[in-house]
Amino acid sequence: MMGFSMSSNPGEISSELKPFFEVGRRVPPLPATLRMRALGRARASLAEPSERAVSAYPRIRSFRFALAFAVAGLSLVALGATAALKLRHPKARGASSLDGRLQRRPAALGPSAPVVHAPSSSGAPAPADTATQQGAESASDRAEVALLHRARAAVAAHRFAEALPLLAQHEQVFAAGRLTEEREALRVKTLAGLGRREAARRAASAFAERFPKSPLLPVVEHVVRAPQR
Amino acid sequence: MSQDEACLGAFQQELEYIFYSLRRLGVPPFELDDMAQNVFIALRKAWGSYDPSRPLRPYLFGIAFRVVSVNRRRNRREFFDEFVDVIDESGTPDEALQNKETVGLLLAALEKLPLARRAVVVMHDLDETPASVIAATLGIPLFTVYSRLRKGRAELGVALKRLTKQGAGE
Repeated sequence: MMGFSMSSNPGEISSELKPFFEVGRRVPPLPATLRMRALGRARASLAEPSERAVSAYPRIRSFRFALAFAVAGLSLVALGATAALKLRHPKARGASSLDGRLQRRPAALGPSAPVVHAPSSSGAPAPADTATQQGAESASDRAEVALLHRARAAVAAHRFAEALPLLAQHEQVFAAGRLTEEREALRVKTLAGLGRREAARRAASAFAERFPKSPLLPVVEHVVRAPQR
Repeated sequence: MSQDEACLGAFQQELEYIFYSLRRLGVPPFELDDMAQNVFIALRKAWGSYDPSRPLRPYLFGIAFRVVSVNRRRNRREFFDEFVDVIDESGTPDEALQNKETVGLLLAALEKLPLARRAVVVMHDLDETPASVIAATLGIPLFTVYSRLRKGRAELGVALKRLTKQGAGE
């Protein structure tokens, strides 16, 4: 690589920084699953016009997907009902009703988790490696990515109560989706963020059991190990 | 080969670099997937203006930098610092552990720098990109590259000292 001339360079790199830079310069390899997932998502986004690759409202192409969206609609209705109930019972704050549902859920996160609404499932467990199904990019894939993206954004902004219903919706519509692994990792983070340590721990161990080779596993484990803020 | 295919090819070829650059720019492991996809989307939009005779990495870094900047402005928050790294598991166990610690410290220290200076330090001192290319990529005068580099290095040194002291004190 081209060096820089000493005269214009703002001094040598100090001896304290040098060892860090030497190690930091090496670009580490990417776990295969992460790599495949990233490429799968990039390919999926190619199906969209370049302006907006991931649409929040993808076109519905077939009855199967129409069904998926109908289920999503129903779950939104359910959310509305939940909200109405919360209004009646002001004590139930935040996403507590959903919380309750989700708290019971970690037990069902194992490989034999019942898949109720997924249009594509035939009772088979969700694949452990979400990246292995790349190729069949579809509106459903993009809808799934968009939904999980919203959940991720909510988690990233620490709006955990907002993330929970999105994760629940994802689980209902895309029970055997390609981003199941990410969703369950997000669930752990969300529960931990809401201070539901025990539920987070259970979700984390269910995650470890279901996705033992997940690149997200260290993250998940770290989240439940980290001291409460 | 279509433009899209060429763009996807470049993305695939430099995927490791893109992920690591995002990490260096302060994106937590948890968000790498999303941000990498945002980089791809931005890359695809900009691909028509890429001159293949220019090196690819600085170009990609420029795009990653813009994507991260926009995301930060939108969220107005600090990224999580609580996640462990998931992308540096190579080498023998001992070596990997030591490298992981070193890289972990470096990344944590880099996070203490404002994004603009961090980008210059990463490009110049880690990617070894010539200052003139940095100036062109980030759209800043050469003088600014040097001043950011000087200040950024000083801040990085202080941050690393503080972090290693913390580590030793605990």
